[in-house]
Formats: sequence, C-alpha cells, structure tokens
Amino acid sequence: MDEYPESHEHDHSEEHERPEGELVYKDRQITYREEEGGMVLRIDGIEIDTIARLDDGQYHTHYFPFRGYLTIEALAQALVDTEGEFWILDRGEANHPH
Amino acid sequence: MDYRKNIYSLSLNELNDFREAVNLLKANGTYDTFIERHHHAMMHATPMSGEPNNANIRNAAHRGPAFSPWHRQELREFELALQSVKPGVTLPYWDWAQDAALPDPTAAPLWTDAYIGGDGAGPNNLVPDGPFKDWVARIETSTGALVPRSTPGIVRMLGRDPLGFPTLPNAAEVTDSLAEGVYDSAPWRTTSTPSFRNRLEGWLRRPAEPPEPRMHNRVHTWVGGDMQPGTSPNDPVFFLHHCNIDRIWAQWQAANPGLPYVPASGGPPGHNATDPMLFLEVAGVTPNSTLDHHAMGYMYDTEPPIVTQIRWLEALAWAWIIIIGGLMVTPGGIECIRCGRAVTRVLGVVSMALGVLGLVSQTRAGRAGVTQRFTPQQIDVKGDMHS
Repeated sequence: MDEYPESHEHDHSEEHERPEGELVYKDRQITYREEEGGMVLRIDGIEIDTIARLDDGQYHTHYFPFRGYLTIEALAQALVDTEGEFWILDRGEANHPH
Repeated sequence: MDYRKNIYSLSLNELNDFREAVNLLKANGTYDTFIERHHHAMMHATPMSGEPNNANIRNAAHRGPAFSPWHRQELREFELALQSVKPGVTLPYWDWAQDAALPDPTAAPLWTDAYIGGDGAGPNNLVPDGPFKDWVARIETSTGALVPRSTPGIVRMLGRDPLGFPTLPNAAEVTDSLAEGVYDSAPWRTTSTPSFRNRLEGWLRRPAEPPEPRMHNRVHTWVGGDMQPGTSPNDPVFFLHHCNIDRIWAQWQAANPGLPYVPASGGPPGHNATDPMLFLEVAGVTPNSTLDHHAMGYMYDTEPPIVTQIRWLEALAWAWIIIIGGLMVTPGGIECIRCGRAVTRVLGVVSMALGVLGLVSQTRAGRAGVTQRFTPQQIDVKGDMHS
C-alpha cells in the first residue's frame, strides 16, 4: 500500500545530485536543502526536521520512524497530509531544536 | 516470576485486570510518561565518530543494537507500573504472526470491544469501542514538544493506512529472523548484516523483497494511525506488540546461548553492552543488565524448558504421594505402630487416590492454561466480564 506510486518510478541517482529543491503541495510551500548532517525540510518556511537519506536510498524522518520514503517529495507530502493529526506545525517557533 | 501469556490465553479476570490497570495508569498520568520517554529516545541521535548527528541514522532506542534491550527494559518498567496499580497483572503479548494466518487479520479477536477495541472508524479513524476509546493522545509539535491532541480518541487504520502497508509479518518471517547467526554487526545501524537485531527491527530484507518495512516496523505500519509516529505508545497495542518482539528475542537468545550481545565496546554511545541506556525510567540500566529476562523477573508461556521443569516438579510431588500411599498398603512397607495395619492401609489408599487426583488435575489445568480462549460475546459492551 504505497500512496505515492510515482515514487517507484523516481530516479534516485538523479535525485541524489539535487541537494535542494522545493514544491507546493496542498498550498503548502515545501523546501528541502542538504546541510551538514542531513537534509533540512521546511514547510511554509518553518524548519521541521532533518531528513536522512540512508544507504537503502530511502528518505527517513523521525516523525514516521518505522519506514522510509522513496523520494523526499513523498515524505514531505506525508507530513503535510498528517499535520494536525499526528504532529503540529508550531508557527510560533522559527527553528526546530533538533 | 511473572508469567507473560499470549493475550488470547488470558482468563477473563486476567484480561479485565490488565485493561483496568492500563486505564488506571492513563488516568494517573504514568502512562503518558512512557509516551514521552519513547519519543525522546527516538529524537536523540547516537552517532559514532564520523557519523552525522541525525536521529534517523541511529537513536537511543532504535536503528541500533540497543533496540532490543531498551524496549525490554521499557516493557518491564511498564509491567511493574501496571502491578503498582493492580497487583498480579502481567503484560500479555500479541502474536501478530498468528493473526497473519487468519483470512482477515483485521477481524482477529484483539480488535474487538472485548480486548483493546476495534479498527478506527469515521472521518478521523478513531477507535469506536473498547476500554481505551476516549483516551487523549499526545502528539509532537515541530519544536519537539508533546501536546494533547485536540480530538480525543486513538487513531487506527488496520492494514489500510495510506502511510502503512497492508499485511502483517507471517510465521515464516519470524522463523527467518530467528535463523540469524549473530546479534548485530557493524556499522550498528539499519544497514547492519548479518544482524538478528536489524532483521527483528525490520530494516533488513532479502534481495528479492520489496523496499518495505518488515517485522517490528511492519507491524507499526500495519496498525497505522497512532502507531506510525514516534509517539506510538499512544496506542496500548504498542506494548502488546513489543512484548511479542521481546519474546522473539528471548527465543533467539535461548536458541543461541553462545552468541553474545554485541558490541561489547567501540560501538555507538548508549548501545555498547555496558553503556547506560538513555530515557528509561530507571537510570543506569545497560544492555548487559537486560540480557537475562528471568533475572528481570518474568518469563513467557512459550518457554518450554522452564515450564516443563516446573510441571515435572509438580508431577513429581504428586507421584511421591502415590508412592508413599503404595508403601502404606504394601505388606512389609510402611506401617504405623500406633494406628495398626488396617488404618495405615486405609490411609495409604486415600493417599494414592489423592495423588492420582492431583496428577490428573495438574495435567488438565496445564492443558487448559495454554488453550484457554474466550469470545467477545463473553464480555459486554462496557468491558465487564460475564460469569
């Protein structure tokens, strides 16, 4: 049950050469940029997590720690889809402490 | 010695006590401390030299060797907390591989009002019944804090969560995991192979298998809902699931007594055999101090050597009574000087009869103990037991 079937068609090698990017999903501005220690993900400008791309080629977030995502876009979309239900975007804070 | 059973083997009273104890811990705030500690452990990166400081690579309780010991200690602390509010309660396990063999695992008795409530329903997929249906979950903010969710209830999406996967691990996968020949290996993370820990946790898969979570991870994603995030203890099935994970580790240990916990040293902080593990209620607990679960005070109903030993001792006691009775009725055997031969022989017959009765009763009770089940119809909608 993968909700992002397009993920299977993604070219991982090409993606690995893209250290940063952005997309709009459900009117939310998502950006990601590779920094020391991993890839930092921001939603509407608020840093929410440091993503790790592990050796299996998948992207991992501590928000959903029991699986990986084939693309960072799929991971970001999963976070947007679950915001308010399983986690809350705290707009009062500009920086995530972790 | 606390005796952990398959949840389907609990008596009505045992199940009722367990559910009541869990609710008491939720009511007095203790339960939520387990959610917080698990969440904090998940957020705490434990890098080795040269590794990024990223909790997704390895953290205090996951994606590394301490996965099994950390959760073993967490479960024991939870079990002792249950006993503090309801003496005698022990933690049951959910053998999900057993349910995976059902035509429809979502229809298993566990997911009924009689056990822990059903699959989520309605627009928010909230558990509609059972003893925990009105619980308020704690969820994470983007600053790392935990706050109560505005909508009461536990979210479940059995086998249908869009973030999850539709099948449970089966018995063959458990057997495959148990065949691993070492506990763990460098680099002590999700890529470790060979590694019993990594296969049990669910990162390690065979080359032909799809890039999906397996074993422990798979179960989290199959239950879905509140079992998906790092705050997964929000759903009490977390403890039943991890109790089964712990049971499988105990099985692997019993089958491989010569294989040690590794790394002894030189591994990630908090994961070496003598490193204190973080974010547990009891400070200073190391992986080494969790390796003997019998020494921690509990055992599983699937541990044949010890169970057999206890049953043999009981059988021996009854047999001894039969032998003594036999000697009392045997001419030239035991004879009471004061009572005389006739009375001694009567007592001997009574002794033998008692011995046989005890032996038969013990055997029947032992068989009933491993097969006892009950149906949801035996419990009313409020969770009260029918006599």
